[in-house]
Amino acid sequence: MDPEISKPIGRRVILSMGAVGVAGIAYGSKIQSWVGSTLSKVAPNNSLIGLIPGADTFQIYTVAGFPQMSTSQYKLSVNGLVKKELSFTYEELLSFKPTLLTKDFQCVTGWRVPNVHFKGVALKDILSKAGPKNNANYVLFHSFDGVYTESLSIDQAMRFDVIVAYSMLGGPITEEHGGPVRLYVAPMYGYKSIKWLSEITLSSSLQEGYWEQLGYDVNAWIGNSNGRNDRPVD
Amino acid sequence: MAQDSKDTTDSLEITKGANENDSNVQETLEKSFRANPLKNNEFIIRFDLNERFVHWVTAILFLTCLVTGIALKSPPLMVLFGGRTGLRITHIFAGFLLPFPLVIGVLAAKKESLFRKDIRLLNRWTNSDFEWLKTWGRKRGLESHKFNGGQKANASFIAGTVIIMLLTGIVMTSYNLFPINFRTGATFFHNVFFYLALFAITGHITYAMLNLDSLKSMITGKVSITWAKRHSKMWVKEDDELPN
Repeated sequence: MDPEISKPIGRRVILSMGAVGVAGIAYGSKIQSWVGSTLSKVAPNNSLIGLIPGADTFQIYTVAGFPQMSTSQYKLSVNGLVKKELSFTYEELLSFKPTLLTKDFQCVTGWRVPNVHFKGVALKDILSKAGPKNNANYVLFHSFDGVYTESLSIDQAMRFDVIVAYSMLGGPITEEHGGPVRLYVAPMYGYKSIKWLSEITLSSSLQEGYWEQLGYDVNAWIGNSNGRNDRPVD
Repeated sequence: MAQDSKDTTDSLEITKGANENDSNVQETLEKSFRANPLKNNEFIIRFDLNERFVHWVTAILFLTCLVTGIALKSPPLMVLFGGRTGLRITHIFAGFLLPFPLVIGVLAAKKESLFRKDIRLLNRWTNSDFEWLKTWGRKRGLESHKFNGGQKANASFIAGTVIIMLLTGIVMTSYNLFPINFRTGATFFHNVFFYLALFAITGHITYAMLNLDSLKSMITGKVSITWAKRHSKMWVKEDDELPN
């Protein structure tokens, strides 16, 4: 064929890359956490960093686009197994005693944003107002995107570090982060912190949330679920 | 050209004697055309129909993966394309189909076909290919065969990337079968190789745009002999030497 010496390098490149792929599947999570911690040291508050795979910044996820709602239109209804069905406006949520949390936000896909500032109403304060009935064992949350749902047990919902947040990262919650109002479940993986929260339903039996129906753990404790061993947030 | 109709005989008679050299040239060309039916005095076949078909089907699938992949990572685009579900299905579908055109094309091609031959050529890297890569083709006097070092590197790299995307993609879609750490690793590498694939394919398309004859040959299959001599000297030379 060629008069010169030629070697089957093409095949070697392809086979080596196949090996890289296998190694990446096995050890990629380690490389990712190294990249993440390095980048957050080098450039902690750079939004462009989000374009780098493995960077510890918010990756914006949505399953049904970005629903829009102004604070004046906003309503949060609490219904189901409660003594009194209630509905709160945005202003009414602001009039509650605020709870402030500054904790890590850990996603089940691996990224973790350290020390995120949240402000809102403790979920237990809202639930107490409505008065859960004795057989109210579970809480189901609905998003006004019309698709996303999440669930908590009543005990989990009564924790101090589960809040209905109206402020995040030092300002009103933006549309992409689930504004005007979202849930923040600090000790659990991010999919529990439903965005665009509009309805809370108490019931006697568990109704799995969006990702739980797709196989993710219902009790999504950080570091103790979904087969992951991240550092817990507490 | 070689038909012996009356017209040809007539014209031969007219030119006879006028210039002996001309008919010699004609004879050589005819001989070479008979030797290699893929070549006449103006054009040479660079890619056969099978290769072109596989290339363009793969290109469509690859671009589909790229566009839907970007949209899955960009919320405004996701909304534009009507949400996550449709994009996800399209992305996974196009992704798993991606290797099929090449595999089927190669299996369907005969051993002596241009397709099989080109794959052998892309696999074998010569010293001048390495020289080409070191100097990015700037070194003068390098005589490439049908494909230069850059083209060989690109072909292997894209093929390798497809394999990585496929392996990581399998883990990402059927994560129930694997430890969850595998899923994190697979997602990470899928994202990293997205950037590398984007880089490689941007380069590939840019070079095609800068060398329109080359791009045309992927549509019509043909390049002019002049072009081939300039870009693939050893290839044309070898074809000349073909015994039959």
